[in-house]
Amino acid sequence: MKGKKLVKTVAPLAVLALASGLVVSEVDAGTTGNAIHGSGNASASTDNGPLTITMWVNPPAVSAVQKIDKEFEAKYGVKVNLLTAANDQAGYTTLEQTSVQGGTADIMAIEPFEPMPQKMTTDNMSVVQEWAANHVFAPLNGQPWLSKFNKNDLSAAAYQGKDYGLVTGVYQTGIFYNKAIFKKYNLKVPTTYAQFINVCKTLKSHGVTPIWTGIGNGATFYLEFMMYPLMQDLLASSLGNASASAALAAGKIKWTNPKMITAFTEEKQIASNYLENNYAGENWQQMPGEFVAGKSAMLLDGSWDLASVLQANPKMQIGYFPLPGSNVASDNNSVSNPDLTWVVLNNSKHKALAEKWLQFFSSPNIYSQYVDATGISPSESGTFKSNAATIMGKWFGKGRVINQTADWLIPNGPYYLQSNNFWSEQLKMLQGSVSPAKLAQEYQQSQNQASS
Amino acid sequence: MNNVFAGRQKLVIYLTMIPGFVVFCLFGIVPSISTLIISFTNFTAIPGIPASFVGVSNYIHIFVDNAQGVLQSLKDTLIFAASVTVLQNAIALWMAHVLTKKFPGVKFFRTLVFMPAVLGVTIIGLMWSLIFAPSGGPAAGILSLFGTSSAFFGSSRFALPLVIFVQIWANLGFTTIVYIAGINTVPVELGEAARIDGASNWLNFWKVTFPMIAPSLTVGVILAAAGSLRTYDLIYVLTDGVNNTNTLGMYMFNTAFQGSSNLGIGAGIGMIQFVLTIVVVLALQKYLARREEAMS
Amino acid sequence: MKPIRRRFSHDWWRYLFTLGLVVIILYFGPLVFLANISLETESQFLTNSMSLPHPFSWSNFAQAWQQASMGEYFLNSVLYTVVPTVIALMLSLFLAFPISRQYVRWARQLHVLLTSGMFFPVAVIPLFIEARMLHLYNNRPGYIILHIEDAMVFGFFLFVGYFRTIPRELDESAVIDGCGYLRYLFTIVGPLARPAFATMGIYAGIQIWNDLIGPVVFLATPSLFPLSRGLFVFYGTSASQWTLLAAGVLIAAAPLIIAFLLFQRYFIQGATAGAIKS
Repeated sequence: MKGKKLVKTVAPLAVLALASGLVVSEVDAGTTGNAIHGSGNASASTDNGPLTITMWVNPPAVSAVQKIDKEFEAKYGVKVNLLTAANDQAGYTTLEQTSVQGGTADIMAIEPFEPMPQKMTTDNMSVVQEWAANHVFAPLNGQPWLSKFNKNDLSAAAYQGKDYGLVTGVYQTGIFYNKAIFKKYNLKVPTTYAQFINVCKTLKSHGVTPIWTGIGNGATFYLEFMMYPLMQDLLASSLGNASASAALAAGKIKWTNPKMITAFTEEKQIASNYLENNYAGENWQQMPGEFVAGKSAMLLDGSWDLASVLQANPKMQIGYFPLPGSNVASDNNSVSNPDLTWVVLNNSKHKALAEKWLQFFSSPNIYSQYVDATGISPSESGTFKSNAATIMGKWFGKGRVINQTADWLIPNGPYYLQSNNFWSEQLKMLQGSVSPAKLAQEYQQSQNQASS
Repeated sequence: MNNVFAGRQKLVIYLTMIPGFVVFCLFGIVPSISTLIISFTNFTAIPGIPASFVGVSNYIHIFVDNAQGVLQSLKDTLIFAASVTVLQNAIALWMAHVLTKKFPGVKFFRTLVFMPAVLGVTIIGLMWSLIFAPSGGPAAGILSLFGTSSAFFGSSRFALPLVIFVQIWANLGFTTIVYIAGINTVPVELGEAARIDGASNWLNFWKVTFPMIAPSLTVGVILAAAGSLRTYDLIYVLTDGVNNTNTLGMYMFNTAFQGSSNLGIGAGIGMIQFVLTIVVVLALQKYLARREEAMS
Repeated sequence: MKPIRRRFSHDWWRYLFTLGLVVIILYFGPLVFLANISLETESQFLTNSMSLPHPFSWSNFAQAWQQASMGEYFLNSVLYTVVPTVIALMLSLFLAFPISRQYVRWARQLHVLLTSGMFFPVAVIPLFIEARMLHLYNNRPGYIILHIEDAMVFGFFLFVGYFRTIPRELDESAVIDGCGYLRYLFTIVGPLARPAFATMGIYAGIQIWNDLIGPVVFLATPSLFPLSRGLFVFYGTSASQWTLLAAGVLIAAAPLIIAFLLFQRYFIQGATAGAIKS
């Protein structure tokens, strides 16, 4: 009978005892079920995989990794599975969580988790930070390839002296422009905010949509493409190249600082006049395509999308400049963030194989494939050439570092410091229902709450 | 009552009931009770982290530290649930009124209105996301005829009304069926008598039929209210809770499973949602029952 | 009165015009729109999405099927739907019959308890913790077991009412003929209750088939996903390819629409019976 087996397994669990015992037993189940597989160091030579890798969808990076996986499979005779999901909350964030919970991945792509909050509690850490602090990732110290990488970049995924991640490189955000359109209207690359607005005005007067960006379908946080560079440039007079993100989180710079309000005001001016209509609903995945199709003269995006642009039209002439926030040209700089970082999960059953894959990945000829395909600014020392390096010229790999998940964001923290609320409110400011000064006040209020 | 089966057969009866009962306890009773228990712990979804009881600190977190979040979410929930309940029932009443008439294609229309009930949230959500895409979608095409445009689900002003629209669209057929069943129980002669007195068609419905279907109204309203206070799967597909669509269910889900993985706080939000649903449904039930009595 | 007036209601053309127009635009329109773009080529879609497809590009369907690995997801969906529905049907039959006949102790109390199961709060968080505890997380048997309870409680509610329409004398004569309980249940009661079984199976089955939160919370490995989540993942990864996406949505919708047209009666019965549930 079908029910019999079920009865045998579950009958001894008295219902109410279970209800109250849930708390205690979950901990046991959690540890036995998932965490104590640390001994999975079966020697790699006998381990035939399959090796499972997860990463978010960035088409050029995915195809680069697929190619690398094929070569790895051919060389070592093991099977590699690549799981991907869209880089948004309902997509990759869920895949990450389920991979860790289910122990279903060996190597996982994360965004770097440093800096950790000063007082660490479960309420103020991001999920990835909690994982890093709770030994979900395997330390990679002592791996032979580690020394080839830039220490500074690696530190974005290190915690308490342990290197947990291979930081594959650095991306930048800024403006990619269509050289043909700029030439047609005799436009020069702007170096100050006023010049930039003039460029936009000229384009608009000719009926050309100046800038395209897309924050629809769950990517409201891509408003950072505007906010981060504008505020970094405006605060440069007091902070220099130091991170505004850290200064805001530490309370050294107040949200109500006039420079911050200026940044919000500039953001609003750009968004409500020079972005395409309804940028708030435009799918973020479509923006490279729309730019290639000539729907706008400029694309406000991260350099990770440059490869998609070039793939769609390899002949397109493109230039790059950082979105200028200040009217003092020397204050303006690009912003950059360490990006895709490989970690090995501690409960992986193919740990040695996973480490072998990382070593393979970092071997110069394979790594250069990756750099070339993605346009990432490399963190491994050596000379690598890519189209992105040519297009971005002197800006390539430069800029003030600010992590995509900025320092002030606190997952279960005060209302406006929670990522969703922070960006939603900022969008409301851009759409006109909240003034820049009010926005700054709201942010500051939450910030005060966090530091009290 | 006496059992006609005896001896060994009686034992078989009891034995065959066990599996079902165990399933019911394990996956029905235990989870319902433990939401409350979990809301007093600091459970996370991270494997291997020990959990312990933390008293009411999750509730302090929700109501004090993050009062704004729960207030915003309550506001979204109430706007969503109230609009869905009122509009869905009003439109369904009209539809049922018309669909109980005889005219060509009436069966086809009934089928069509009911169809979304089988499609499920993924298909419905993706379909309307495509229709309301700001460029290239048919809704944008219609707006452009009037020289305007919108970010639709990307707009903090229109996202909630649109989510309400899709929710009603999906569940309208069901409520309509409830009213059709109600109208069919009203004796035809009553309507005929009123028409002879010269009452207009709509007035006829309002004055004669509507009071007669008070029980259907109770069912229709309670179902729409309870459903819309609890649901979040459609919102998950359409907006994932951004732009003022963060209803309590969505808030609970996001706190527990996305971005943060705090099951304790999530369970606390789940309890708020549960209490709100119970209170609203009981109040509505009481009011509508009294109304039914007054009508009869 | 002319015969035509007798057959149709007074002013029937007005109903046809107002309601017909609203329903056709809102309920038929979206499907037509999807069908239209699913047959367009990518380039045609980009230039003029609203025009009729020219030439017809059927390849979107094949490509979507393959690219979204819909075959695999489809099989999972069938498994996840059929197995728990059948198990739930059996279990609720075993519970409902003796309780409706009051052949067991505490029948009335059990009836109230099991029916109240339809009103339990949504408990996705405790179920997630339980699933991990009992090793039901991220595997097929677990996912199936987790979906039994909901369908079972619904079946119980439906069957208890239905069994009342089967006369008690039938039980007595069966016992006199020396027919055992199980044989009686399967050979006599079962066939008689076929309409109730159909209603429960169709309605509960479609609920499970369409569940999206379940696979998001209880499954991690993509090869285990059912179609509902598979399609959602496909949306996330290929949001820029509308023609493919529309084809994918239609492929997923087709079996549901066909099932609905075939079993409409049972489904509506199920929905009305489940009225108090929702």
